[in-house]
Amino acid sequence: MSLAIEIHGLEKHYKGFDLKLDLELPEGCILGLVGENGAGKTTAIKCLLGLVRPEAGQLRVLGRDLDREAVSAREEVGLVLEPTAFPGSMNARQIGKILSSIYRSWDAAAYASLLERLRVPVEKPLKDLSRGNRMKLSICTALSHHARLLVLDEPTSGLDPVVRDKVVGLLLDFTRDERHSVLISSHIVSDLEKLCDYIAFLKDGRLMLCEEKDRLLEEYRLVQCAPAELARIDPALIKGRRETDYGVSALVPEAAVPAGMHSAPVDIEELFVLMASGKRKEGGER
Amino acid sequence: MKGLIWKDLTLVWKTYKTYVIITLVFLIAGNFSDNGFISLYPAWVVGIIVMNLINMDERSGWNVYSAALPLSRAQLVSAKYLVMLVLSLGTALLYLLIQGGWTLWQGSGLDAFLLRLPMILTVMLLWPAIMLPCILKLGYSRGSTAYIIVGGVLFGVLLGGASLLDFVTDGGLSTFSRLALLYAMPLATAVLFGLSWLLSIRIYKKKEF
Repeated sequence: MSLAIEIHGLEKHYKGFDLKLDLELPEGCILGLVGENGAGKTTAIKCLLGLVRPEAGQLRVLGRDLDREAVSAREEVGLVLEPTAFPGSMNARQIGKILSSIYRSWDAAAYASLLERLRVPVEKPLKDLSRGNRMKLSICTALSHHARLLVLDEPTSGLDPVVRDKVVGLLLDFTRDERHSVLISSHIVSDLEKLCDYIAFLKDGRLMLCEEKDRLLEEYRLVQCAPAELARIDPALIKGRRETDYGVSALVPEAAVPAGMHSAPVDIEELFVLMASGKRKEGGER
Repeated sequence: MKGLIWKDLTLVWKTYKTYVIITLVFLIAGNFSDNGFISLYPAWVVGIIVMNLINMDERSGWNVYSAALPLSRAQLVSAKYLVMLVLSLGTALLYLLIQGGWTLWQGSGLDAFLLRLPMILTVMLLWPAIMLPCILKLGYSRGSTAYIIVGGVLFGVLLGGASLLDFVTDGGLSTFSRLALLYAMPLATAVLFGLSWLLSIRIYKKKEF
């Protein structure tokens, strides 16, 4: 299987924060990068885009080594970094003109069609557009140069549910082509649940796990019981726990749930919250 | 890179139309005044516009976004220097047309015009040559300190230039020697501008966002 993203032995150090990461994204898949603020999601994306220089590690995008072929690799990467990466006095038409002379494979017809489909005003300056329209514009630019990989940093943050749904729909359309892949970081776990094939959890600069979403949902169960009852489970197998006045909720591999103990399926949001509050598991799994 | 230059020139026209009008006013006013500052002011404006363009890039996040586009860091820097050159040459051309044309029409003041031209070209290239590496390294906000320092240096250079002008005018040199000496200044500054461009590329290649 070809890989859209390969990150091996990546290390980036800041004062008070270290990112150490191994991560792979198979071609044709959507990988959601989840983590609390400061977990290292944006730093990982910045390393991948060459915005910061890692101290160690090998990074490949669409089979190209980023040390030697970063510019040509970026030709096939669609970016959504923030909703207003263009000066506020410019409009969608002017932005299209700029990008048409930057991307060799810029598709003006596709851009016009996307703007129309998403009802983004073409002549209105960016500063007069809503956050939702600015984000839609960013997505239009990312999808108008025949990118094979989309990299999106918090694309749905601050958007209302209707716009978020449209964005999710666009990304799902994009991945209908099996050569297309998406790396998306978001706090909005429900969006990731709709979109992603893989989920990667980052905490304090370390990858806690990276697994297929469906496998993750099948593999883990939510145990809700009294604290004393939880003692029946090997603490090493408890991936996260939350105690309330009414009992304890714990995230446990299905195989570790003792016979007769009540457990329920877990969704990605609960999984994320419990893992974020639980103990760290060192190293990645893929 | 064409797109980057087009973006900046579009922004100049959309955002700094007033500066362009002020430049024209100062160039025209220079015809009626012996005050050299009035003619030098447009040369300063060019630098101010380019600095503001960088500020706008930073505020909008364009500097980060553009660094992730299929462009090399050298192209990103070169585009700014080219915009600087286009604006400088445009201003110099306007100076030639407006003040040179006026001088020819009046039939007098050619000496003063020819003495002022190299000063204008020098200021036009010297200020950004020092400022651009500072701003590209430190960012617009922190680069403001550099702005003050560079302003001081430039003021010193201008004072030195004025003394040189007096020496050249009154020093009993031949006309050719006077002009050669004066026109060596913008040439030397052009070399400095080239070195500044190379330094900025080096700086920007190492920059993290």
